[in-house]
Amino acid sequence: MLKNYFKLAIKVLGRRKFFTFISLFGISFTLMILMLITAFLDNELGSSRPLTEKDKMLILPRLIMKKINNDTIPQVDSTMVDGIMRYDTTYTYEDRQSSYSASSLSFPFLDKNLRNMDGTSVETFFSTGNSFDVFINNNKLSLDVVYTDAVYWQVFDFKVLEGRIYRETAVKNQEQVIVITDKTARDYFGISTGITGKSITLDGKNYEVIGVLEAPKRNFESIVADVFIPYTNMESRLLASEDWFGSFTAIFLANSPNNKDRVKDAIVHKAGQISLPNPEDYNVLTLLPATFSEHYAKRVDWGFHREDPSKSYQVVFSLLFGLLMLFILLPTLNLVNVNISRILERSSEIGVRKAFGAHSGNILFQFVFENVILTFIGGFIGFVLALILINIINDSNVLGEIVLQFNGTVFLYSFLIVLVFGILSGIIPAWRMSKLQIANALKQNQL
Amino acid sequence: MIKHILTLIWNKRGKNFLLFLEIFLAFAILFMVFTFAIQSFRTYRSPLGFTTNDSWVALMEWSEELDSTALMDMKLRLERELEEKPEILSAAFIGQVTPFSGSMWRTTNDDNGFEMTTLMIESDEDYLQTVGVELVEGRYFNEDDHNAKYKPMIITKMMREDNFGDKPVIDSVYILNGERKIVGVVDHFKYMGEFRTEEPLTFFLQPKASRDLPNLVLDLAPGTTAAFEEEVNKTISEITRRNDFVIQDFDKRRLATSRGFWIPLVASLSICGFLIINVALGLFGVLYYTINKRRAEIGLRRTLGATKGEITFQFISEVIFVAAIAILLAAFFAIQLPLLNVLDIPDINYYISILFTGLLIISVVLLCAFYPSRQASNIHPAMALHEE
Repeated sequence: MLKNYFKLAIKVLGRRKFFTFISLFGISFTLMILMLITAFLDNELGSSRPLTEKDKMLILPRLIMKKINNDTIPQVDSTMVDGIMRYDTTYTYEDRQSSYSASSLSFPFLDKNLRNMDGTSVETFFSTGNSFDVFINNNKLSLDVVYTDAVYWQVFDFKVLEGRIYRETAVKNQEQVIVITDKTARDYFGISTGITGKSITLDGKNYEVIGVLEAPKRNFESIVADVFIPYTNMESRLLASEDWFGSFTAIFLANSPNNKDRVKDAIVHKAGQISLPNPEDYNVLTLLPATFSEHYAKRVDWGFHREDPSKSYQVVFSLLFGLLMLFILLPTLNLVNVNISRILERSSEIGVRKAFGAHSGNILFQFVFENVILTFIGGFIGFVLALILINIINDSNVLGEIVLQFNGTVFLYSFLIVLVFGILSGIIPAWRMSKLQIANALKQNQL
Repeated sequence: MIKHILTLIWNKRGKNFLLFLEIFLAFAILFMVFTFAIQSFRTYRSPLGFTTNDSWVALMEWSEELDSTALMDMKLRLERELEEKPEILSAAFIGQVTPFSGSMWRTTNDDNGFEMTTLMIESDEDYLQTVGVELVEGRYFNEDDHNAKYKPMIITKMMREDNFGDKPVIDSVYILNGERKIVGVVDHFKYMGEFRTEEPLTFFLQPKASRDLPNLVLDLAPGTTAAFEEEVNKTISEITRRNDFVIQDFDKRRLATSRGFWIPLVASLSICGFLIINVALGLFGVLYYTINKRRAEIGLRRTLGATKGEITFQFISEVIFVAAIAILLAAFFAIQLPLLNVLDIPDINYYISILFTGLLIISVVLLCAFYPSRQASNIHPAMALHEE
């Protein structure tokens, strides 16, 4: 039976080439774009190395200090009652924010206040946004440095290509060791193997290369760097500063993904307990730890400027979902429209089948089946197109370091999308046709 | 005639409803993307107010151990030695907030009796001239300003319009981080990026030797090579005795900042392009099919004396009518956005977007309807009636 339907489907497709082209164009391009978007999102939000632990992470990129004044605003209403003026005074209380400062944190602040939070297994503090210019053979190389503690390597499982990473003792003893990415190795030394043991001069110090990592192909500022150095090598004043603002970010690993909210609460609660040094300048301290997705949404933001990352998350992802739905809806509607016309042509066929005893259900099934076949063909073309486009995008470097790739999840999602697409765009016209009266169907067209 | 067309449309309401829905949805999606694109593009086109080509910035740290005299000597010596190089036309110190760095400094207060919001940038007296910011009123900072009774400030045109209206502002004193006198008004300064909207901004003067001005902006002669950058790098590290500074090219920083905005813009516009082609193809197919189904009707009308043009007109107006209703309804919803001020986008951008989307969809529908209608009107009446 299915075999017959299949044969029929292929025959019908060949008969009306223009309509087939329209359908295939719509299906394949829509799927290509969907696959591209899922590949992109998977790359941005997936848990490929070194972000295997991302589901347990809570990121605290900044500290916010505010000055909130309580204003009392009296308002006097006057009304004439029986010729006498009456006054009615109301007071409104309003919190007014007069100063606002936000920046990444200093090491002493983190070290003193945010160690061993409830529900965490480990925490890492590291400094990003440092860079140094190095000149090699008249070429400038700008090296981005992350100063890290040893726990950093526990939180992020980088792929070590050569040598090793540094441990607690090396950090404690202020050893001048450096871990570099394979990209830096190529740019700095011109070779990609046998790098360990060589030295790099940065900030006037000689660092011994002890390990080479695979450069992360992710767009996450905590890991995008060229070299990694124990934080104890930073200027000592930065590590002893009284200032709460600094260049550090903190990442906490919850002991299980379900415990993230507990850790969040603990950090937010802790912020309320710390007393501010100059209450006349700032009287409120806010710490807003974010999960990986919330942090991402906060960064994307789209101009909503929400302070709370979980709000950004809701806005950004519901908007993204809504747009995707709209984007799928339009081609589907278009396809429904085209399918109705296609199927109308075949009313005589339906009439004959019905006259020979086919149920509405049979007809419905046949048309949905035909449509699913069509979507699969379109899906395959879309898949190939997406592969080609992904290669072009990766080669052209428009997304910078990001390398899009296909993986099982993306394929599975795309497959599901294909199926839903096929059934959705087939079921309405098929349902309409399956209800056709035999007499009408036969009359409408000559066989 | 119109009544006749309305009846025809109503009789085929089931089919027309799908067409209606498709055009409505297409309008909704295109309107959103076009509003975003028009907003981005108009922002991109608005002037930066300063030049970025052949311009570098050295982002520096200065040792905390230095006392203020030592720091002053060091900073002035650095500026002097760099300006002596023929490749460097001029140099100026600027504060922590530099163009395209992503950092900003903003204040909102009502110290002057009205609410004033402004971004702030600290610089020395040479900065504005060095990067070519144009003066509209008053003057640039000068050396006498350091000893003036009131600290001077220079505001942008936008700051002036937003806060002071038509009042004369030159030499007026306002409270903004202390009492300050406005000495000049400059044209534009959109420093956060080409795709970021300009905001009111105020420049504060600081002495060159101040710790608050750590970064040095260098205006270069055209055609300076990378080898020269190494030379500058050496000079800086010799004088400041530090290595933790970076030299960045403003042009590169500008492009890098904009790249993050180009990608979603180009991506969403290409997706829209694809959607339009998709909808057009679908529309064409459906119209071609439905119009050809009505051969009998065409034959009859032709026999009764309707011209080819009239037939074409009838079919096109039927389709356009449905499209117009869908567009009007969608535009009605779209117009709520500027009316209710949902997003922080100038109203005009919404209107341009509505107009543009409407015109685009109407022309696509017209194009798709024209060929099938034309073809249908070519049917010979005798043939059409005979078939039936």
